[in-house]
Amino acid sequence: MLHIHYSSAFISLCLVFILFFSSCSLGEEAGFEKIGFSMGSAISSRIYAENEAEANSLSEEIFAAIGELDSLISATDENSEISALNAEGEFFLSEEAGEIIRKSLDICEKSNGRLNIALGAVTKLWGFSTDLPSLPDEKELKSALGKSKLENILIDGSFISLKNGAQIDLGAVGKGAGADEAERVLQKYSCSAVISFGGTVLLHGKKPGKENWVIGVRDPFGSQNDYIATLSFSGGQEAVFISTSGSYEKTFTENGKVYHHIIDPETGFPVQTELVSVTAVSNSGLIADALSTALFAEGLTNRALELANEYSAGAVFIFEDGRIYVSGQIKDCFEITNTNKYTLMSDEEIIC
Amino acid sequence: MPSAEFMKKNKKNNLTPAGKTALTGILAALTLALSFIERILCAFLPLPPGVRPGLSNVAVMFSCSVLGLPFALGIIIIKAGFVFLVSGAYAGMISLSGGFLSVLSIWLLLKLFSKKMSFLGISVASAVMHNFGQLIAASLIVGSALYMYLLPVLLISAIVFGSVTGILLNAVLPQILRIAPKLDKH
Amino acid sequence: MKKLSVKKGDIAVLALALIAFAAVLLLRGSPNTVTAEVSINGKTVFSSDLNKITEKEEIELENGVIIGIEPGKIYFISSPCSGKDCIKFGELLSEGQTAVCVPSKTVITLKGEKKGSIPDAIS
Repeated sequence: MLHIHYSSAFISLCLVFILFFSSCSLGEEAGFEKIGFSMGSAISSRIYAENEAEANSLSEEIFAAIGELDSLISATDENSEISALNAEGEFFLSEEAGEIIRKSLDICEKSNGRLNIALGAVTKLWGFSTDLPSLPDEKELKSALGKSKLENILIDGSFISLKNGAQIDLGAVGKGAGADEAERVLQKYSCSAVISFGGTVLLHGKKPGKENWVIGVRDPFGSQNDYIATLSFSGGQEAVFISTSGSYEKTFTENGKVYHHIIDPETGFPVQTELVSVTAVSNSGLIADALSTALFAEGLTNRALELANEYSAGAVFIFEDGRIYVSGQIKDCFEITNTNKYTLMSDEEIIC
Repeated sequence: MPSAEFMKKNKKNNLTPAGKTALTGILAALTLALSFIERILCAFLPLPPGVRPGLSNVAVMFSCSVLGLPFALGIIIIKAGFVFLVSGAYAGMISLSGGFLSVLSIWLLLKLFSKKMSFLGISVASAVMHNFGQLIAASLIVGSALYMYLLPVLLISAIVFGSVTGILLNAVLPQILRIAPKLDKH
Repeated sequence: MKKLSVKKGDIAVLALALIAFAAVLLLRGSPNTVTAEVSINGKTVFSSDLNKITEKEEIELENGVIIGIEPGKIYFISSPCSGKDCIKFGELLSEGQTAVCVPSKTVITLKGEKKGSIPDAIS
């Protein structure tokens, strides 16, 4: 009868092992997330590495790279190259900063000035980068607007000169450029990653586990954790950058009127539009960020669609009444999750 | 040698009341010792909160079957008192609640089903009742049912570890009775 | 000397217990633990299972930020910085949600048991 005792002992031992293992977490397929701070926002870096140490060191490298770029192009950092350029009126920029200026200017021109990196004098008056933005004085605004013409920027390679008191503000493209820096770091390694900060998201590699990356499109009327639609990407060789500009970010109210931070370079005032947000998708961070602003300022027009096509970018236009238009190849990976309030527009519905 | 009358009164086994009291003391000490060893063991194992191998239950089951309900309850009270001294009033109450329900179930099962069950089933049942009693006490103390979310984990660990201690007692009991036949009821 | 082997009653008890276990699991789904983590500049300073919170509490962090925590929710109450953006995040209720106070580098995240979160990020 001893056999029964041994076999039952063995069975119970097996049960103990099952219990033990079922209480352990099975393999980290969630990636390791670290939060850093730069460019005026919190950066979330989720790395799918073998272990936490590897992921953390990679995240730190990314934060350092973004921080370094910030120290070059930040308009609020008085030690940055851009600040020096604005102060002196001319400056010999580093290769990185120079390239950003050149690429941005290209988009400025192609967007017919809807994106304007020379708007520094105007944006300074509005004070959106401070804690207390306010309505500027009309006369001051007019004068600042006069300085903010794109023609006032003269380039000679990396040597930039500014005429008539023009001031550079790279706020509309800075985060995109930062995301490009992150991608540059990630290219040296083989881990997949999701880097997200201030409305700009970088998808590097494929998501582990045969699933697609799923990016939520932020609910314009909800909190930063709410989304009303999703974009799916399989990822792979080329990185995917998603950037959103919306009139719900950085707003202030004065005398009962709400002012958002996306300034129309022609009027000097926030863009008057029925759009609440534009999301741009591209293989370049700077382009995604720049286009999200340019397309928002332009509105849903033929020119906007041509601009997006020019850069092979996808775009999502969300109107305040809930209509959504998706252009480009991302049409197939776009899905509305909040179908109560939001509807997809067909091509015929676009009025230009 | 005890008188015949005495033997009739204590038909169940050959222990005198004094003997029973003495044995209770020994078994209580054994229970505490097992629980102490168990604590040390648990420090090395990554077990979820509230999950215990329940080694002391071996002694409790043995006590209940040899000494009967009143004495087994006494042991539970002593154990709860010990927990109270070490970990405070709340822990003591939780231990008392778990122990009480556990001993009750052991006694009931022994009384009703001793022919159809070995200590395996008794152990599993008493382990389940023990954990359940602890959960109820904890929930009452805190005043909310939030702790009930622990129920599945505690249930499965009671089943698993209850089986282990039950099989342990099954294997060990014949050897004990061989050494001390006076304890045998049958 | 009695030999104790596994008997019918034992099997009955085991079966009953396992059925009870299955029933409990089915009735309530799997136990849900939502861990709230508060970090300053990337370093975790506070971590707690929201389901284990039994009463409303206010916690003041070393940098002056005050966090409110209740059963099932956590939120910013106040911060010494001028932006006050963090309070606009409102209450965090489900896993994956985050609230940030950028000037003080304070972050609250809710982590659940699900591996990987949907969506991967929000733009």
